[in-house]
Amino acid sequence: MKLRLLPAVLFLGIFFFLPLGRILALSLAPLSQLDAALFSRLADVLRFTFFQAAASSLLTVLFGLPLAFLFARVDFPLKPFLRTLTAIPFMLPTVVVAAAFNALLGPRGWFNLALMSALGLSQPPIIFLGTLGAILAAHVFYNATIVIRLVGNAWANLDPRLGQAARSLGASPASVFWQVTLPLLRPALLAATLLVFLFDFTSYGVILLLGGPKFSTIEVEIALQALQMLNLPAAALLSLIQLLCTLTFSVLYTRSLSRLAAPLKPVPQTPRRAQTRLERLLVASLVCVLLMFYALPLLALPLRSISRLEAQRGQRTASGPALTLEYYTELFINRRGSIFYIPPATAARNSLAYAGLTVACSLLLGFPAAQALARPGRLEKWLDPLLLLPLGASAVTLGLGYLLTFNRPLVPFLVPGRGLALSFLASPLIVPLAHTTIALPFVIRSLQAALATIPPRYREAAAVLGASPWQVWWQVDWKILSRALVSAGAFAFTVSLGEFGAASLLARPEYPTLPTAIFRFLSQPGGMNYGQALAMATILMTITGLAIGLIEKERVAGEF
Amino acid sequence: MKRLLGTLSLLTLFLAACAASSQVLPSETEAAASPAVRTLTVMTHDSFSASEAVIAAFEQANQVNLVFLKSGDAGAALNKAILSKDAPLADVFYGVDNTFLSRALAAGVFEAYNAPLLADVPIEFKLDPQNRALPVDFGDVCLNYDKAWFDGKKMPGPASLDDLLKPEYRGLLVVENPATSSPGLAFLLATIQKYGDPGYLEYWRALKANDVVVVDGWETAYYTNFSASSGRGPQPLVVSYATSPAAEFIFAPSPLADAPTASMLQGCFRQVEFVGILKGSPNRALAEKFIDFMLSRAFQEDMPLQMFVYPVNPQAALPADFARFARLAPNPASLPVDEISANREKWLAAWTEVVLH
Amino acid sequence: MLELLNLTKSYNLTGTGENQPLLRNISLSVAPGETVCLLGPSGSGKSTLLRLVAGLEAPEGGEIRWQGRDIATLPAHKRQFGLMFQDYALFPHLDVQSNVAFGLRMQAIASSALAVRVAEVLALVKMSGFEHRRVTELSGGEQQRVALARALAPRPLLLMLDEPLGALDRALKATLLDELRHILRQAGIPVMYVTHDQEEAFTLADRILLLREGQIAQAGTPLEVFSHPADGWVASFLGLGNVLSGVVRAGALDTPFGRFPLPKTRPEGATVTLLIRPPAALASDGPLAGKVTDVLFRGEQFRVELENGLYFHLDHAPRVGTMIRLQARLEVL
Repeated sequence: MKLRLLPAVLFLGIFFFLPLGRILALSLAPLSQLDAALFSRLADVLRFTFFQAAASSLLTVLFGLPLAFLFARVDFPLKPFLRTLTAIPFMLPTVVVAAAFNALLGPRGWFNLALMSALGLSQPPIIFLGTLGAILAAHVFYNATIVIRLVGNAWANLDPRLGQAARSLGASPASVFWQVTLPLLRPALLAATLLVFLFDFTSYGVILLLGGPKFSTIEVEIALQALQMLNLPAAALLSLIQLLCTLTFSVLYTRSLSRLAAPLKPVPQTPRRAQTRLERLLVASLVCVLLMFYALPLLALPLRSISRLEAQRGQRTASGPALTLEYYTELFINRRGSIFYIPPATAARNSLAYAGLTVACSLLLGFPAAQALARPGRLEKWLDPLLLLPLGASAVTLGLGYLLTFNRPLVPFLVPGRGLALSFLASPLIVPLAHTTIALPFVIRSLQAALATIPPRYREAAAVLGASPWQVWWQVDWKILSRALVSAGAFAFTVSLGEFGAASLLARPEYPTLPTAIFRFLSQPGGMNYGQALAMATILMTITGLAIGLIEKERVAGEF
Repeated sequence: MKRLLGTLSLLTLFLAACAASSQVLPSETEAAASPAVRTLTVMTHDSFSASEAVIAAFEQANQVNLVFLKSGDAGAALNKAILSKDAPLADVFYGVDNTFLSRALAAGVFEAYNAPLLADVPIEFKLDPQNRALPVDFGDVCLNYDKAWFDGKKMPGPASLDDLLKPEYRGLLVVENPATSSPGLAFLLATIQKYGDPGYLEYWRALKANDVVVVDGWETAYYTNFSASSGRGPQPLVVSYATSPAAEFIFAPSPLADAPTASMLQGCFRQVEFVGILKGSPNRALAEKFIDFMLSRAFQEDMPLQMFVYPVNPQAALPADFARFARLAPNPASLPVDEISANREKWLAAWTEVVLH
Repeated sequence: MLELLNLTKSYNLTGTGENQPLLRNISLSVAPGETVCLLGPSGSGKSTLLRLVAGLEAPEGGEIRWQGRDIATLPAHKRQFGLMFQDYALFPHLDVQSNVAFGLRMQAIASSALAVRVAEVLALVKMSGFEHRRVTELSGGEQQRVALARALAPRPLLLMLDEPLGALDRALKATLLDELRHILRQAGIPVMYVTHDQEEAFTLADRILLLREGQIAQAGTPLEVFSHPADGWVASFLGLGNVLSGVVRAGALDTPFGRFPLPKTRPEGATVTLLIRPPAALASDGPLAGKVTDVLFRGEQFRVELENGLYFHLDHAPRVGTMIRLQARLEVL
């Protein structure tokens, strides 16, 4: 095995495969106790999981593709802002997204209120929450940014002469797209689709909160069995099925990718402004769709966090809620003297520290691994799909696995004399490390694709000019890859900030993060709690928006 | 060789980054530095809360540093305690309720402790005769209704579970999925107590015919669907707690004269929460002290406004706002813990079949 | 067949908002079966001109006529013109066969006819047997042949080639140039050929158009251009000889290189450009004189450089350091 792959393999071995293996081994032993009712349900659950994941991915790709083109090839007003906007949902906790959708499309959301007063209806005309449509829309809302970024990057680097050659050979713009552009974008498109599919396949919060109890995916069923029924064998069996599905997709993906590999020289293109009237119209309508789809739900949230609705009790369809900042000011006061009070600044600092660490760890582990995988040997080819597995792992199962594995010191003599075997689980490092397991596959994947596009002669040129291997890496790989690195880093950052996956199952009360704070407020009744939750969510949104904006700016400045 | 060096330098960088981070994050409490102060770890669910002052007083008096390990909702937390029982993560576990009690006792995670203060606790709460799990607090899961909504319609709020089947209450009730939500399960158990097994299924069939809305959990039911909450949803009836009106009053953004919601005190289910010393705790003496503290007036009087539950210690006085709006059902349902444990999966499966399919 | 009338195109310098003229009032025509070479240094606008004709860019002013019809607004894929790109732009996701068949598929040609035509053009460019190779595995010369085959396959009405031999080494270039001449002649279609290499232009062209800073500096057959360069720039771009410019004083021309006799009379004080072609002979009464600084053997002749910067081709080598007098043809441009 190539040595550069070793750190990443070791890391995933310890922090992913070991805990997962332990929980599966423990739970699958009494498998025979499972009853038949579970198996009959399983077929339904599997069918729906596949169906919604396939439908969501298809919609996400259809929605993301024109936007990927827009961001890659066209220059238009507000572009950096809009690009940042599309990334924000990705890191918002599901509860917050559900609240945003509710404020917009819920029974008493703005749309329904407006339609009810305009048309004189007594019942809300739009039924959104609790439908399959809500699940699909939320999945598109969450994941379109993956398509926009991955495919957009490839598109921005696509040699425009290939399309022009096709045009001169008689291909209409539509044929150019189907016969040339799309096939050339296929590796990026496949990668994006697989990621989106895996995220949708293991979807949990969206199904529960927006779909409601009528819908159940494997991950929902795992959580149900593991946490409510305390039926670990059933949960473990389901996790295993989910893992096997993920593995199958990953293998199919790597196979088809290696068959496709058409080495393309990246030819970075400068985006241009729309020129004809038709182009301008198209761009304007795309930007409008973008604003509608992203800005409206995301604005509903901050707006709701500064409006007080309680004043109009009894006459709630009336418009004009009073504006207030008290949800924000209240955040800074520990009104009830609770030991679990979290000052917003502390929560933000903890969130950012975790996210920063996750970025550092996943890039440092992912970069050498991607280099090893860019020119794979036999072993590497075999390992490749395995490295994708953490994306499809059940967060619930992995969380329980962590509990089993890290509740005693990994290396006992290093942590002597502690009364309880809390050592590693209690270390604040466990959270960014758990985040890293989820972020690493993506980081490796996107860097690997970018590395394959660097012609070896650049490295050779640098070496001939007297650069040491380290300098070659720094001067050539690092510099040329800055774009891919930044987007991989941004992904790791968002994984950590949004706290999805296994991390939410790890108990870390000493270093509460923004999502933790939001959940705390939402768990008790009362207008002030809800308002503060939304205020905290707005803070999370602002911080992530700023961070992503900064990263994007850095990226534009560092472009070659 | 150079490759090896590269790999090693990367590893070093990685470790350095990780080490640097521990300085970025808040440093470990001073307790770790001074050996005289011991640490007691309490595993609990996410809803646990207490006043700083009350906890600090206990820490000071006993020269102890309390660490709370919040481990998810009630089910998840208990599951983690059971999973890690061979190498316990904590000394004390708080937050198992009567619906999960037999499960916890069967798993053998607790050591018995005959706390002296148990003498004061009414017998109805002591569900484990061996005192492995000790009652701490209780509360009733009841229907809450939007007072303004019913006033506006000049309509009385429902008075019993049977009322919910009447046509005038069609589509007005939102409940939580009992499979994913603890108040949802409590409400299901209340209907099982009232109508018996399998009579409860008839009741739910009728409720479904009357357009009951089912959502995944309490947060969605209360904040998205319930009309009196800030979500301003479409349903004026929700399954919540009999203490929720007090919370609505206390956490109102602008001072209110009255609570905007009220509880229907029929068809309620009583939840009792327990604490226990985890088997294998090396700090048994301290753990006992902590349980004594949880049963003492200081902690028991702090609970109502922190967690919106009633203290089991009858000597604990209730805070005024809490006493004014929180309610207790006169004759709540409380099925035997063994029966709940034995039938839980069967009931849930049957309910799912009837209501969701 | 093809007529360009007063074509104008400018490009927007990124960031400045200023428009830099690329092509100014270009008018030209290409007759049936004629090969026209656009010759000019890089940046003279020749590739842009091709892109305008191909329809990949739209002109800001002027007309593009094909058989009398203005096609300036006709989209590229409806023009049926073939274009071969400088570095070929072969589709990396398709093999040789599919690359060549691409244009035919766009015309929805029946697969049997398509296979026949593909085999035909591949044979024409001597690439039979390469059908199923990946284009990324081909050498530069092979890629060039495939690109030519791809452009020829759909039988374009007009073929445009943008520096097709630019990326190849000298020996390969010479062979391919010869083949290209045969292939173009065989195809019998009008060709516009862009190059900066005059050897290519003189080999292939029926007519040469010299482009300088977006304007046509001279147009004509290779012979016309060679024997009567329009001005000093053309003469020095084509490397025709020593180009001197100076002022007429007392019947002779005063230049930085010295005083030269004028073959034709010009008014006193006029600025005149003189072309002195290198073939020369030693003559004791010759009008040109100078001290020899360098002598290079060039096969049949010697290239002799003089102290004043002029150079000549002589049959006999003078000694370095000696003063010589020469007889050569002087042309006033």
